[in-house]
Amino acid sequence: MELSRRKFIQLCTAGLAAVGISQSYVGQVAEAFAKSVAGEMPIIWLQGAGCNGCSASLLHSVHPDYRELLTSIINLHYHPHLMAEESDNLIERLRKLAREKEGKFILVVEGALPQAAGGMVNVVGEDASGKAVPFVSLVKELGGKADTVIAVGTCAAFGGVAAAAPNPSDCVGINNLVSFRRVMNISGCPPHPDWIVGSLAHLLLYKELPELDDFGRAKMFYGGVIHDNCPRRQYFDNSKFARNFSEPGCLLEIGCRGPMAYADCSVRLYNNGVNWCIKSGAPCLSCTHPNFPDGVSPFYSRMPIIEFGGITATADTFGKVAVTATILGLGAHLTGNILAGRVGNFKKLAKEKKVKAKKAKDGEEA
Amino acid sequence: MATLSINPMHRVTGHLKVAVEMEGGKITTAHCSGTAFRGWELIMSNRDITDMVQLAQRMCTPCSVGNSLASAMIAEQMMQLVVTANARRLRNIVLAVSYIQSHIHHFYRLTMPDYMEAPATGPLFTGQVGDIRIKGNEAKVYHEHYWLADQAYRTAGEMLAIFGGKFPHMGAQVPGGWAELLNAQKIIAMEAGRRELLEFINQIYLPDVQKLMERYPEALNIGKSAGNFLAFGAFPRQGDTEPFLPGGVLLEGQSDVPDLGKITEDSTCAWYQDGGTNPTQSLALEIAMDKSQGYSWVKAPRYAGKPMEVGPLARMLFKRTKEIEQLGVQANSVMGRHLARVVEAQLLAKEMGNWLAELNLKEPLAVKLQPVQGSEGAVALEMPGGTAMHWVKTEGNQVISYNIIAPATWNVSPRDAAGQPGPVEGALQGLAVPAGQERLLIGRVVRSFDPCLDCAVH
Repeated sequence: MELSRRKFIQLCTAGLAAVGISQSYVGQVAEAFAKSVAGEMPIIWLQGAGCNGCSASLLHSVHPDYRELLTSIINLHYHPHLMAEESDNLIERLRKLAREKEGKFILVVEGALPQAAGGMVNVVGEDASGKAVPFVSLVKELGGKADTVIAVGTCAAFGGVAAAAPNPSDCVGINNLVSFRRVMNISGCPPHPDWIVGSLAHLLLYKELPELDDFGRAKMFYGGVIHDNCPRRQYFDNSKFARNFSEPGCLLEIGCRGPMAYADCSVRLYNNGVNWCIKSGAPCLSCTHPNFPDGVSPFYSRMPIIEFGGITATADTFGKVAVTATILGLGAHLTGNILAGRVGNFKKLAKEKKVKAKKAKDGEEA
Repeated sequence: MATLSINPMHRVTGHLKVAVEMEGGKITTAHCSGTAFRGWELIMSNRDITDMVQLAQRMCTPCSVGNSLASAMIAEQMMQLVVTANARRLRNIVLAVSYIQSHIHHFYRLTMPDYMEAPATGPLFTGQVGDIRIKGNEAKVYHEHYWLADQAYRTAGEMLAIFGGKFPHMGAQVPGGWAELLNAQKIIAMEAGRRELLEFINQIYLPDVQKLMERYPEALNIGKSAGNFLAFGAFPRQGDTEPFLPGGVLLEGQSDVPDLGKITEDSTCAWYQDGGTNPTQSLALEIAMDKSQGYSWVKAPRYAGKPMEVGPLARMLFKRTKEIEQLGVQANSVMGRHLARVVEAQLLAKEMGNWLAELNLKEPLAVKLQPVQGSEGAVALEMPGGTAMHWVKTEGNQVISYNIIAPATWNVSPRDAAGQPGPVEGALQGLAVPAGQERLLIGRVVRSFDPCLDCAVH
């Protein structure tokens, strides 16, 4: 069965149904995979300055689960935490694979890239001569030969917690290292397994990246703002704020960064759809944000100052403006986008408008 | 004298190198190196004390629940808060689920490939070479169990998310208790998950460990550590003086009560400038890679000057479970550790039912945060991998310095100033390694400790 790209993106985009991407894999997507993907495009998964959390997140993928993923979707050649084998010269074998499959394999990078002491603060193995190989060198080397480099997690994409002040091991995200042929970011601490599987799947099925946002992330997952579909949104619009943990109300006052968090957690939910941060009473940390964690801490304090539309406003004013915006019919979505576009020194609003216009135009054409 | 360096060692968490010297078919010396440094304690410093919960859990995933709870507890200690009995029950439940999940993950995904023929499902499962005795049809059964374990792992993940929001890296565990609003539906879902896990442990996990012990009887005689064990105890229960898993010290044959004051942290062989050995002070994290004795990013914690083994085996020894007591001296072995893990998982899966029943829908889960009163705090907490300690110094609500000794810091520690090897290094010494079997046998011993280098170095 041919699964059109358009249909695939539709299936991936949560919000169509509360069950999200996972359930949709059972039918059409799995079938498409079985025919077109198995055996192709080896994946090398490397781990650097991370916590294994992104891999653990992937292991929590429901549809497809880990077994389906390995047997019929991805051709995972190397993963230090999961692979059975332990033998000589693994680094050399990775190099050989990269040479033989130049331009035809995917490199997944988990964890930030530490540069301190020439990268020697993070050694991932040794070569045939017994020389230590730093993570950062191996990523540069293999990434240079890869068809696509995929940064899984906020650390790999932007530096994340590993690069937080004072950044002891001088970590950077993938885009600040060197440029590769193609890069896709899948941020989140950790990213939802659907984001990882869906982004990879798009690449494998259509040999091209899904449409990306300004931060190199698939728009089908990172296109909206948490705040827009927040189950506590009504509280926000009515200015009913929780002042302490374990209280009803909007969590803005105790640190929620939902208004600046680009992701679809609020409709996708986590761990087989049982819950997500805000539903459990936890303020959103905006863990997908390029400035996480330094730009959003102290975590449990109200977002300090928000600039938008030429106005510098506190969160209180923002609340009022947002309500006004809704009344004026501008829609919460737009407000959220403008807001988020201004919070983290994102690119200029003008550019966003341009992208939006282009998208609208593309939509018309399609 | 032959040498062998296993770098990277797979199926551990984080980056581990194990180097051994061999003579006459036996290992004479072993060195464990944590090969990656991030400086987590420095990252945690100069921030609000309430931020510690979210930063500590991101240090490593298997013990993420434990480390975040330890950070929440230290904030509560500094704010002189007493969490509600309800919040304590909830924390016990969530922590217990994290133990069970971690043990299942460790046994099936990290351990079993050292003992069974690999399934022919892709390059990731090209098997280990050497004396593999679980083959053919028997291996097929284990492969099915491997995938059943995958389901159990995800069920545990769902349970963590039911109360924590999501897993990995939950959101709802906060200083002062828990951010969640409790309802009956969630408790019922947790109970359903608990029964599923208990069923898996009783029907699959425990019999699998027992069968493995039959197939590899000699694995009860290898991987013996120096025999010094430490645990601070876990799962406090209301009205009881002793927690559900009691703490203890077994040091050179003598039993004692654990005391935080007897802990030192030595960085003789770690790549840091010397900063003394007092863990409440030691924060010498200035890199010193040119140190002649340096070979690891892990420091060497010691209790009364001795390296200690921490983890499920230590806890089950102090719990005096019959399964472990029956093993006698053979408990201190590769298989003893695997058995201790499954016994602990079973105990917790059973007991958790009582804790769930004790949750009170009307009782609050969080108390209001207060300004920090003191300037120094310390917490010890048991996590899946073993006992961990957090120390903090504050000025107002601001953290000035944070110091962590994680479970794996104990087990994978390098040598200290006195030249004493760490527990894993000690357990490798004297191991008979026939030619061609070195990697396999070393892997079995090292992995029986469930080393997590992300934790150990941090």
